[in-house]
Amino acid sequence: MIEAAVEGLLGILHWKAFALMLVGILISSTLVAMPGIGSKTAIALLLPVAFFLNKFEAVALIVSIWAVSNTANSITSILFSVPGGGGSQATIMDGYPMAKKGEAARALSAAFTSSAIGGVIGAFVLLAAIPVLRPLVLLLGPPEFFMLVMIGVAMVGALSGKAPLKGIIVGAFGLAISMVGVHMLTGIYRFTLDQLYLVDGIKLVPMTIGLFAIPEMLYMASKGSGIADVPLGDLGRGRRQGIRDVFEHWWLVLRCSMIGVWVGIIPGLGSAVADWFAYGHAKQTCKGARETFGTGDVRGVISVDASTNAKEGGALIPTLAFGIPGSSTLALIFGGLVTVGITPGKDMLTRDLDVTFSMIWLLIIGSILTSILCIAFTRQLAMATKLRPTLMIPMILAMAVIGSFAAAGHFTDVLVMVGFGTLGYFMRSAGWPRPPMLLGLVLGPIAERYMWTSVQLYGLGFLVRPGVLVILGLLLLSVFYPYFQDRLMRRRDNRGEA
Amino acid sequence: MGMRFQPRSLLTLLLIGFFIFIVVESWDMPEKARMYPWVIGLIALALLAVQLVRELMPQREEAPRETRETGADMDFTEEEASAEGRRRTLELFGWIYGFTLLLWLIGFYLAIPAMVFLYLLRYREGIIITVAMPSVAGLATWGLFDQLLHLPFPPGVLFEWLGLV
Repeated sequence: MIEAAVEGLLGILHWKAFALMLVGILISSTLVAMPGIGSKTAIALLLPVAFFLNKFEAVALIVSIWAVSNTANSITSILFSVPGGGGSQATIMDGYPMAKKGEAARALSAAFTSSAIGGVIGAFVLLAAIPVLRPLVLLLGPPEFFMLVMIGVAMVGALSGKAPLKGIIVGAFGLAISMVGVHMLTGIYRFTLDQLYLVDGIKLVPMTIGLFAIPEMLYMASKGSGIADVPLGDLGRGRRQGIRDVFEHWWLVLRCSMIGVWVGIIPGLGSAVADWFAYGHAKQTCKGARETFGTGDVRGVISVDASTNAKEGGALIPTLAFGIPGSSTLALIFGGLVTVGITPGKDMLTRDLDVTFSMIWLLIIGSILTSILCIAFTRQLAMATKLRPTLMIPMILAMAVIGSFAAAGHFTDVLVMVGFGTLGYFMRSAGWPRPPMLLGLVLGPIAERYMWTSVQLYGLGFLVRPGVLVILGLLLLSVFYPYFQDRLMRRRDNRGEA
Repeated sequence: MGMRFQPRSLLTLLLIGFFIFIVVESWDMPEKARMYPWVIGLIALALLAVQLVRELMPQREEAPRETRETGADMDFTEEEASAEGRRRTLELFGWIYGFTLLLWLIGFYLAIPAMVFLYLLRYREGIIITVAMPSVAGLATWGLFDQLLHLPFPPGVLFEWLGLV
């Protein structure tokens, strides 16, 4: 095993493989920072090049794009409230308010540092997991997976502190939107209103861009000044403070990284879930977070970025153990690697163990290099928050329409983006939280699949399996905990006043 | 204490309508396809009924309307709620819908630089910025997204009607 680890490291440190890794990092950091263009687009662009490379070179180029994509995703989320990709939606919640308070440099450098550490932790967990992979995942069946997904949905309660009931309703709205399109189990069309576009369902990218970017543009226009309300202050100091924040909250980084790894292990879940799980966890467990999260608390940024990058290490676990790609991006990566003779599954733990190790090394080196690169440009990025809205709005609007269109090449996606933008504005004005809708859309199909499989296998008896009951307890705790805590605080306040 | 309808309850009513549609529409579907919409739809309708009653009932002085925690979303600010804020919001909505119409009519290559140019002109930006930014936007749309990423931008229906494409 040590021999394979050394061989894997030497393979990617060869000058050609290393140069290709740098190319991958640069391309990924640039493209992924643009809304709507995810790592899948970048990988798809470079896949044809892999045909002409040996296995280490191909791995260096393709895997580096994937390994660093979550880091650059946070840039537009923090600066413009436009999510760069699936894993950067929750970054907005505290990253953007920090930018508004003139702390963009601190938020960015905290996000980048946390992302690097998360990536490294994810890689080490993967390394440690290699000998014990199979029993870990086989512990759980569809009923337990269903309940785990439901915990994710229940998080909406915790995520919607001011109005938990509204949060849960909006989460259900997201679940309902996810039902639109071809039903995967029967093949019938559900809620498509005889529209061809709706057969594929409502897509996450235009909906996300619409829900977040349009209302923030409207906010910027209504107040008539740039994103940052106050002077940016000493950007160098903000950058150093962001790095320090991560190390001061090392325990949070570790916990959220482990959440990311766990979400990555479960096939079908992805960055878009890992970020909300970590954010919800941080909000429930960090001291005073219920009052400060959502207003620009750096812990909200740190938790999210650590988990989304750590998730990648976890996502490799089912891929290596069972040949089941942990995410659609991994499926694309392995589609490309098959062409250079690398097959996912048990071969990667035996014959191609050196390649597996080269991927783990890439996760570590790529995460660190990308964060250093991004931190180096934090100053320039933070300056963008001082631009006048008259300069920002047309550029963000252009980015929003291109990002929405780029996801699938449908003009209707632009209309969907505008529609959800309008809805997002009215939701904000009426006090309905927007994020639970995204979580519902992402988790909906997974929840339905696991629910139906559980009913088929065990009938309604699946609800009383021991694993399910344990998870159900956790679920109830996450739903009712905010109410209990609020009641407790109110009682304490009343006692204080008396 | 009588009930009082507030404009913000319109969104609640819209959601109730949406979930009624989900439940009714799935009525004739096979069991496999119907079970999940029913579970989600009926739970959501029950929760919405509670929400609607809470909105219609007058608030008691001593009870806070919602919990004291910060939410998962940014609060609607006073600037946005002011008359000037609403006027600016309405104007930007006009730009967004107008831009969408322009994209459909003349395609991305022309609509994007045109929107950027007109917006900068409306807000009286300097001549250099007013010329440079639309040029950069147009070049990026063509160079990066068309030439490099091969995004299949539609040409615009106006050109199709005129037989130019």
